Amino acid sequence: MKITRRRFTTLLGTGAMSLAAPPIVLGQGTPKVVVVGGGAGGATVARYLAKDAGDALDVTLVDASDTYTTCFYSNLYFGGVRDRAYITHSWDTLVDEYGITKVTARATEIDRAGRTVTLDDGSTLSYDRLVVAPGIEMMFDSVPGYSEAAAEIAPHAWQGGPQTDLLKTKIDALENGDNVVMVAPPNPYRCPPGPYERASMIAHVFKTKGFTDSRITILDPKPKFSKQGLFAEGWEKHYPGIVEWIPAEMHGGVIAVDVEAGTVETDLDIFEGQLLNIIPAQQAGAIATAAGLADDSGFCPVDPDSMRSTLDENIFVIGDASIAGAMPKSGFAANSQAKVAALHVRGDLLDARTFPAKYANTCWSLIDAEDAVKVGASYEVVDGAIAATTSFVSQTSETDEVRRTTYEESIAWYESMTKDMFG
Amino acid sequence: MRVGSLRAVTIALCRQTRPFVRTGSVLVVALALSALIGISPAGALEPDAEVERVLGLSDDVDWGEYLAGECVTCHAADAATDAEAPRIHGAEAPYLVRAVLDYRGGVRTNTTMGNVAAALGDEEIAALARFLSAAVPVAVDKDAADTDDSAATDSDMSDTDENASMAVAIRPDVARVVVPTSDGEAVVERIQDTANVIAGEFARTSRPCPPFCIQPIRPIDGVETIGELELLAMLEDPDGIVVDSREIDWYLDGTIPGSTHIPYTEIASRLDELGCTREGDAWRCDDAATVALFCNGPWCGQSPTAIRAMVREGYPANRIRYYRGGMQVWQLLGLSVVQGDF
Repeated sequence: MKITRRRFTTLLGTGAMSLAAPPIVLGQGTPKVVVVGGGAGGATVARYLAKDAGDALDVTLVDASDTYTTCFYSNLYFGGVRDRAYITHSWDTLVDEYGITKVTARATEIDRAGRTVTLDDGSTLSYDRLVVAPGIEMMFDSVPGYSEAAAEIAPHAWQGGPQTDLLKTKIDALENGDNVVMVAPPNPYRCPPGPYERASMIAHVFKTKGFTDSRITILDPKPKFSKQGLFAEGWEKHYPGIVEWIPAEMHGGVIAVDVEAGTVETDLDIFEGQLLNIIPAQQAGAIATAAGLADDSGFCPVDPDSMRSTLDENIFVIGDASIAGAMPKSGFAANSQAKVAALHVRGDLLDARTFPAKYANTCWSLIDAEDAVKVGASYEVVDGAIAATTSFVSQTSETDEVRRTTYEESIAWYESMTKDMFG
Repeated sequence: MRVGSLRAVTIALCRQTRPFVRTGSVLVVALALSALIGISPAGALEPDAEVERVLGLSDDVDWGEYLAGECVTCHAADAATDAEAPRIHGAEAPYLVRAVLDYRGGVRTNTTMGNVAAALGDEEIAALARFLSAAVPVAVDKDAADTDDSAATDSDMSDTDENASMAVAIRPDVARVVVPTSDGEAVVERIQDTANVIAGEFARTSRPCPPFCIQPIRPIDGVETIGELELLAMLEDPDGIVVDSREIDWYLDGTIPGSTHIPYTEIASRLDELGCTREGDAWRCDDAATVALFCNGPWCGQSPTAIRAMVREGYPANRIRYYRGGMQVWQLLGLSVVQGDF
């Protein structure tokens, strides 16, 4: 690899940190990119690097799972609108056809000076550039009485995988008259409309099964939530009297959760549910925090033009773990950020052309089987931060036809999106 | 052999699109498509100087590829053409530019696309269109490919790729035309399966003559004979009338979207439907509409007979067009067909 002007500048700019690190052995071997996390951000960045760089880059994707369950659209699975297979994906195509190396292990440590990632099997991977896309880590103790162990009884199901199956099993086991109590998370968290779509989909199950005596209570630490007017209208239309949303100013805050007893105690009342769905506060995935890439907010600051960590220029942080200005934490956003990061990784290592960053996001939410709403925006870097330049949101009182079209559009997105991730 | 399977998948997708669909379902599709696809207000068949101007601003395919990263999360390279987010890879550049301009200008109203387009400058639109129009699919539906081994022997890779990506446009800059019908708008487009062949009644070469004889190019002096593009322009035009002049069974079986059914046996007595007025035993046709007639094709005498009857009754010949190709050539070109209704 030749030292290009851009690369030379980069190295100079590294300063003391770079001097302390072993120098990159230029001219030897294929530049190595390691991607930690195989979700919407990680799989996309790996695929785009392999697609656009071919053999010029050695791309390794690290994820602890064998298969990937998308957290997005898992609510459709809970609602019985889509099956388990629909939200289950594998990295096989990335391995077989894109030449990506998939390592099934958990990354436990990043040696930023030595530019290596240590895995839970004890092995290490060296990198020239690292993309950190670990998603979120649950802050279990943000809800008094909740814990990782308690999540085995009262699932959060805010990460795809075993938690998804657990919540589905518990929803399916409910009987008429059983109640659900949800505790929604405080900002910022993955998928802002997600808790309310989930309530909608559980209500959809009740309606489908003819459960007229079951109720869903959402205890929210927030005074308002994403697409609130649309959800409120939809609940009234499709599930009158079934879904009740209670903001913190009314319930006064969660005092204690007892998952064995099935209770959530607040200043207002003790809420009982045969199913508790507790979604705690969130922070950047553990590996990002362990590597010192997060700031006091618990998430990782990045350069808005490139998604490069502001704390380590050899590392990019994308997706839910990053602080991406006005962008929400969503699969769509992670996918969008991945393409910017991939561009700059290739720019760094292969002197590829880079372009001004453009980002996008749309969050579709299903209220009833074919009643979908959406909110979205386009983003650019404005005054040093990712800012929305144009945006849109579904309106109340839209016709059934518009909502059905929005639903079909959302399905087109999911299917194209997962192809964009997994090939 | 993933590549070999590509054609099978594409064909399978296309075969889901039945050549004959009820008018009602066409309208559902048409409404959905018109929201997403739309057509320039100036009329799709007019030259588009704005599109030419924008296209001239950039030919930076690399930039376009980067920008297309946003598109592909909904418009997969191998998207089904009837999906809610239709296929854009391989579409003609002028069509893509027109579409984005129309979304940006609010002529077309899908909110997602309106937002996407609003964030795109003219140069970006040009770069995007340059890339997408040159793009071929990069992936194939995995499940479908894995379960279809029968196509694995098909090794003509370049041909296969091309088949999968080619948008079969009506004209280089016009992929589809939206036409008004009595029930709303309908979309006219061409079958996208480039391996498709005509079958059934309209594949016949040798109907007995008489009565099914080759028709002259002009049924009577003064009447202009037209082709598909001219007929589409008339279908688009709210003031133009396109008459299916065949017997009712043919019409019910399948007709051109937006056409009106007046059988050739009745037209001389139904000229009031075309803007003439009765004056005693005669028709007065000063305000007669411009009307195009068609029947089953160059071997069909029904519309020429109707045209001659109209002229005999006093209809101005210069306001009559004859689409000689008829249903035969219409379907040979894979253009949309709907079932007629009562």
